[in-house]
Amino acid sequence: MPALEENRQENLLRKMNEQGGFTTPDNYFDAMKSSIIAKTSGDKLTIYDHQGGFVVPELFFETQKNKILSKSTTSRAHKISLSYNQIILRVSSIAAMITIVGFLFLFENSSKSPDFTANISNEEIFNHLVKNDVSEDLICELLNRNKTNKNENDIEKYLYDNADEDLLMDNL
Amino acid sequence: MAGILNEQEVILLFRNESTKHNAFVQILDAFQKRVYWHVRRIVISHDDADDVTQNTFIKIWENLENFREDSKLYTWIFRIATNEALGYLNKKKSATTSSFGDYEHILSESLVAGSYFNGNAIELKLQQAILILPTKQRLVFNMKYYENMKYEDMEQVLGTSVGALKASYHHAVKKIEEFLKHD
Repeated sequence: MPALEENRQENLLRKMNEQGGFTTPDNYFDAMKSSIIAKTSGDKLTIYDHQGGFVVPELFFETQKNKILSKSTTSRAHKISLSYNQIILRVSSIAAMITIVGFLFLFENSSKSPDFTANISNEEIFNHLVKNDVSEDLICELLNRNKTNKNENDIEKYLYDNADEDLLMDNL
Repeated sequence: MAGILNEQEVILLFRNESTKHNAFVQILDAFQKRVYWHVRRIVISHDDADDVTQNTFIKIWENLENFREDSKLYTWIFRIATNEALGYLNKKKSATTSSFGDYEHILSESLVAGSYFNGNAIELKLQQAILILPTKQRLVFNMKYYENMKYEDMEQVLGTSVGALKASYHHAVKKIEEFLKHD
């Protein structure tokens, strides 16, 4: 775009912007400016007063700031707690899925009569479980039916002790 | 746009548990208003902008420790804010039934009906013109026109090349001019 044309367009819009007299709510920005300048390096500060006609309620920014600070102090503990629970849940789910796949593998090999799983690979079953986000309840139910697998605790313990947490998360 | 804090100093303060809160307050003071207005121009509604701004700063609080200093703190913050705002907007769009018309039209109507817009006729018309733009052009126009952001910083925020951003801005200006001339 030629520079002249670009300048013409910008000037047209800029002129209109200046006519607008963008408003600010009840001296809020004056107070905010003082507050910010007191806490930051004023020479680098740019205050934008023109907001295209949008306004905010009185004392909105102070209220919002307090809300954010309140939430931020509580969010850390909440996040840690959630993350720990999620890790337990996910590691358990993976262990359960591995157990089911193992069970199906054993069942497939030991069964002499043909059945509906005969033509389905273990990998396909595993992918199906993961893709369809099979509920933990269902997995537990299946596990309870399958009392023949005595390695469940060993697998779970092994995952807890040795598996990389990020890798487990990525594989979910 | 110049940074308003010594970013490295603030990040170091944030990584120290005893000064973390103070560092966050400094970041909040420095960016709260700018983030709010940036978000407000995307989501239009004051209440929505309030929600998105709060979510943005909570994300900043939760992730600043992992901030990689290969980008500016300022552009990192605006990238989070932009993504939060666009995500919020998309959720609202998908929740809006088509019988009410397209969502931008609803936003445009809300400028007139809303209680937190008091611009004059020209400002209202300009905002309505901006709302006819595709999302990317709208973002670029607002960031250039209202926030005076450098294209290089915008590139970091939006992940789009400077050349493409300049083209977007050019097209946006053309469309706004057309709208103002003929509508």
